[in-house]
Amino acid sequence: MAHRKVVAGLSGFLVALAAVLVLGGDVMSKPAADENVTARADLIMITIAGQGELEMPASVFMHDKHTAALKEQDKDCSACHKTTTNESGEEVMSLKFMRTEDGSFEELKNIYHDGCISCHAEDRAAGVEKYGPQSGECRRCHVENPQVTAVRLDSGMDNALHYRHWGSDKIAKDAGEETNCGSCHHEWDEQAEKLVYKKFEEESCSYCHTDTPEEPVKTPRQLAFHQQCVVCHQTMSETQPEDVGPVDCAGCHSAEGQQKIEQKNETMQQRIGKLPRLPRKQPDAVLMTPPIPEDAQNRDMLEASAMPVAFNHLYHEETTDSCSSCHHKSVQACSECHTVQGSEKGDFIALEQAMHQVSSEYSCVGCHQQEQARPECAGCHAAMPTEPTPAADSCTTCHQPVESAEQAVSNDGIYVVAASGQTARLPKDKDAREALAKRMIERRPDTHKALAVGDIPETVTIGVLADEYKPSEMPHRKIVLKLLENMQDNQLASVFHETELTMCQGCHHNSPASKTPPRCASCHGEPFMEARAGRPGLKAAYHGQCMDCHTEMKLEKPANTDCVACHEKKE
Amino acid sequence: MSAETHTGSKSVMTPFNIVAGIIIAAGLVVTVLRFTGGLGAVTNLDDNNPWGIWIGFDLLCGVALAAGGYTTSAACYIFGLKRYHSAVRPAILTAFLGYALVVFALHYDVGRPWRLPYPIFVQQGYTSLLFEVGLCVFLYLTVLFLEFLPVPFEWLKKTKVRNILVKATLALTIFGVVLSTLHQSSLGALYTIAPSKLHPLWYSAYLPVFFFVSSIAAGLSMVIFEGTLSHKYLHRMMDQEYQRHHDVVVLGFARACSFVLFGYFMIKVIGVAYDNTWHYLATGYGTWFLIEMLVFVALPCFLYAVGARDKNTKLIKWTAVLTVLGIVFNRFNISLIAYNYHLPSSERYFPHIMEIIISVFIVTIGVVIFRFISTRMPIFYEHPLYKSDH
Amino acid sequence: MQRRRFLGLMGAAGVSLAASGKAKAAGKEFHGYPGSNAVLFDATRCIGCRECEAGCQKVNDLPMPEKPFDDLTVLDQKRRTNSDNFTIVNKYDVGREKPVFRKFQCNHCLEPACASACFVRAFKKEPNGSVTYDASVCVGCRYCMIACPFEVPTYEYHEALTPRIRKCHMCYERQLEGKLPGCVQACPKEALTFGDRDTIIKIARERIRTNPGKYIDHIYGEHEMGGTSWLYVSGVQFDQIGMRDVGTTSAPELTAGALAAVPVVVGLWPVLLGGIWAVNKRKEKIAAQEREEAVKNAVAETQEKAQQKMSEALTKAEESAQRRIDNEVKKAVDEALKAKEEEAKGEGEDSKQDEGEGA
Repeated sequence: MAHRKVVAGLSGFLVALAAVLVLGGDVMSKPAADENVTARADLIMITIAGQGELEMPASVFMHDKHTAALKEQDKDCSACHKTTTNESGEEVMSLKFMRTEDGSFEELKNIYHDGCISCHAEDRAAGVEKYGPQSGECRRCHVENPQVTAVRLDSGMDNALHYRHWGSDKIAKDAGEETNCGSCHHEWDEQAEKLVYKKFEEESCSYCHTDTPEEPVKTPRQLAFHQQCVVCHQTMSETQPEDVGPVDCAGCHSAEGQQKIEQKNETMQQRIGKLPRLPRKQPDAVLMTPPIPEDAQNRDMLEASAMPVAFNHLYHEETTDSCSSCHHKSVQACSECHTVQGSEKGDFIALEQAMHQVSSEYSCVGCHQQEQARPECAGCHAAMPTEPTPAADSCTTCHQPVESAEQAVSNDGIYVVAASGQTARLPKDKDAREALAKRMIERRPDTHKALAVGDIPETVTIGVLADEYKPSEMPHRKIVLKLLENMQDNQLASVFHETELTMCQGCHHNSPASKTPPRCASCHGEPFMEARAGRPGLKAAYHGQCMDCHTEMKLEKPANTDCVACHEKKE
Repeated sequence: MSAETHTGSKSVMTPFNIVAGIIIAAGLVVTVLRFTGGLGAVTNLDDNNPWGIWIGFDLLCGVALAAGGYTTSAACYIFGLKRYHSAVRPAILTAFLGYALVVFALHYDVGRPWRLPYPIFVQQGYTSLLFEVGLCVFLYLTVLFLEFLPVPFEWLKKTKVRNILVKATLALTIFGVVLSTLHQSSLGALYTIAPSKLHPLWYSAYLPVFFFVSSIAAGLSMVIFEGTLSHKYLHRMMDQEYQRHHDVVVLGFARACSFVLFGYFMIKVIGVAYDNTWHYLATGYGTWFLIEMLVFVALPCFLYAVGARDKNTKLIKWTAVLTVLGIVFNRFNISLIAYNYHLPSSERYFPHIMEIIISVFIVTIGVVIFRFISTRMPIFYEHPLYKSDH
Repeated sequence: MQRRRFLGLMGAAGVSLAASGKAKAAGKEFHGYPGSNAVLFDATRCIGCRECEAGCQKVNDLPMPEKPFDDLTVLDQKRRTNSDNFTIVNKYDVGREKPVFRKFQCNHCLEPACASACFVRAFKKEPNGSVTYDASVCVGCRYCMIACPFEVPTYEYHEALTPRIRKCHMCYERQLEGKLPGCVQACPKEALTFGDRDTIIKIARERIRTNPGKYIDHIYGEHEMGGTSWLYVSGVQFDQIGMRDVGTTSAPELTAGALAAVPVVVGLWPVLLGGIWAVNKRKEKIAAQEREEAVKNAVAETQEKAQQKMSEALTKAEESAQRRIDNEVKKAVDEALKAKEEEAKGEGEDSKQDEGEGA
């Protein structure tokens, strides 16, 4: 009897232990967060912010689903959106739900509850198959952990899409003009107290419509875009439904939508060929100098750190996405904000930095550096140490010497004195400066220089790994010619690869440019030599050079790990 | 005191003997497998999880639960609480058996058990906390053996030796407390070397303090718990002295344990505050940690206090069980559940059935030996020859 | 009263332990043996060819795996080192075009956790940077495996009687012969750079500096766990290639507090406990003495009282006896006088009465 109790006690103890272990195992094997969540561009989590703790989680609302459903029932946006007057005094659709102005928490709550549920109830009564949540079904909208997440890609207007707008016949022309820019671009006229259009002074939207706009601008960026784009598309679709821009969320903010836009851009471009330039009277070329001093005393002399740069504006217009690729905020001269010393307006980024900062995608050097990441360039360029400052001998590629023959300057020119001691006399007149810049640009090469084919060794035999493998035969000439072919039409390469030997130095690095560069083994020998810290041994130098280049150029074959593709195995 | 005749007349085939026999037989089979096929043959241990329940349960819990030896003897001999005298012998016996079995269990776990004396006699790794544990356990086992020796000597009526040993009681007790403090705490300190592997809620620079303080609670609760068991099943072996004092011991220990648990709870809270790991409390592991702290520390602390106030020995006895489970829970958390928390669940450890068999086997051996000794030697009663010797 | 003191002292013990736990070994930092070697692993250079694995297997005479080393499909599974493989390469898909590869082996800490944890000193940090292992003393407790933050030491779980810990030893013997470690030797791309640790760190810094954007600005192992002799640079965050943040505190420093508490306990505990015992003993003695005295006093008092009572009783008794004697004497005198008077009356009767009174 007594023993049975011992047994019972013991087994109880063991059961408890087992429970601890099992539960412990359960804790240990907790699955990671659920990843089966679908991304949607049109998901709006409706929450009435700024009211402290909410009773319910935010409501899940899918805009495009509703737009589609309304369309099926022959209803339009006015089912949910009221009409309001915009800043120009026109009657337009309000982007808020069932109201034109926000009210108190209670009011808003009622607007949403009444607005949504009454419509859903009507649908139900009318026998619509998929009617929405009804009164009392709180949790169908207020979902604790929604299985969908809002993923909206940034949308924007590149040169092609821009042309599809300003080249369109459907958009009303400006008064007395051939263009239609005024349909979108506007400016606040303080005296007239209304929005006006000023030709040739068009700015980018987000220059004024920032996320938190300053007076007199009222509309924040997001709303400005939606009012401008969506409302216009919507109005237009009522009269001429063919080929009107998207009015749904996914049309601009999903990958599929953007793909569609891209396709249309391409068809357009195929039809017209080259994109016409924007009609904003922008220069073809700019002679970039620091701002010319205004005061009479210094008017004739300009001290600069380097000689001026002739900037090919026309070429860059063709090779960039839009004006804001360089003019990130306002379509003004760089030095307006980026002064020599730096100013608050230019976020204290001085002019020199604004042009040369490697890490910035807006600076000249930064953007050129990004270009080097293209597979046909990256093979060589990725291997080059991109130290925080660009190589010193590359300055004159942009800061060309200004030759006297090109100047042809009248007496009222200005002397530029560069820190290097070089001087030049530049015209003050804008057109003359542009003409000078154009001439300077013309001096630049427009095709890539190359060695004569016969001067390029045909093969190179590499026998370092001869103990395990047979020597590798590298088709040297084939590689060089392929690289040259890749960069034939690349203006950047043409200008910056200054001599016919420049490209050779992609592989034959750290030695003077020559038709007969030193052998690799003259620098690379045994690995890990103390005197040559950090310099790879010969084997690694070869492998590094070949494999990294192939990887960067995205050449699938041969695989880095496929030894016998280059070296045949010894028997 | 007429136990021998009693058991003698009974059949050997008691339920207890049958169950114990089966377990021991199974244990012997696994023993053979272990020493012919290596650890890989009988355990789920791998390179990521080198320590399983043979360390987590047999060593960590074994040592913690055998803490009754030093707490009781310290209370009785050092703090002069003579009324606990009757609890000392069972506690010492349990501790001695506990430690002996811990060492026995280690023979299964370590790769080359015959080298277990190496750290002490061949090459000493002074920087290792495991060395400290090993040395202290070795010395303490000796101390416990000496403390226990009077029992067999009384049984064998060797008065002279017995008296010499009894005289050394105080020195042995102090030595025992020092050694216990060291190795109880350093068992926790073993894990201070791996902050990146133990979950932040359990990892703390104070781990040695946590282990030491919780071992006191474990020791006190274990004395209550096994006193209760013995009271039930070995009642016939107890003299009046033991029985008269039993409730006094239980109440006193309950009160002490309540205080210790309270202190333990507080230093654990301080530990969380010190490492600022509050935010982990909202996670799955946090819930697990809260269960440990609230159900197995705060609750028994409260129940002990209530039990001691109301002189409710039944409540106290159940609370002792809860506390003991709590300590086991804590040691399992640190050595198994919160350890390697960063690994995906597929790489986590769960004991193999044969590991469990060995653990149960070792516990069974302990119970059998305890029963053997306590039914023959003067554990629960004072030997008539040496009565009122103290 | 006594119980409360008991608990109070336990609390005090806890505090002193905790205080010493905070104390760190000050001013005795170890930054590795001067001139010791290190290897730099560059994750941007590794192509995942497994040549290092093959090289390791060859120089260490380890068994060849089932699938040959040029079978790269094994990279699709996450692997770890084991008793037959001291190094492995894992592939990590980090959401980039190309996966990133990471080699895994012993990191050879400057202050190794395994060496610090081993209770028979089976591990040794050699002056050349290697952390070596001596199987002749190893007990097989596997605490080194618990201690190692990089999960490096592995164990021969299927050895019944002579299991060893197995791990990369940075080709200690080969290094002594002036050779490179097997894996470094085998790497075709110098994704592994071998050299003096100080130089290696400089090389790593230089690579990060001259290639902005290519590397994340961190050398894993420079400070991790107090510094390691195996260093890593990578183009992606280290946790993306399975390298956890293990902190910068070296293993000995982590346990220094607990070890420092040992002499404190050994020194103070006997004094404290002996003191408590002595105080209790003395209290008992005093109590016993007081009891004895009280008894004595009580006895004395009662005795005195009894004596007093007795003497009082005696005096009383004496007095009464005196009084009786007096009375008797008086009576006798009176009677004698009477008798004399009566004698005068009758001679014969008088003499008989005298005799009776005298008795």
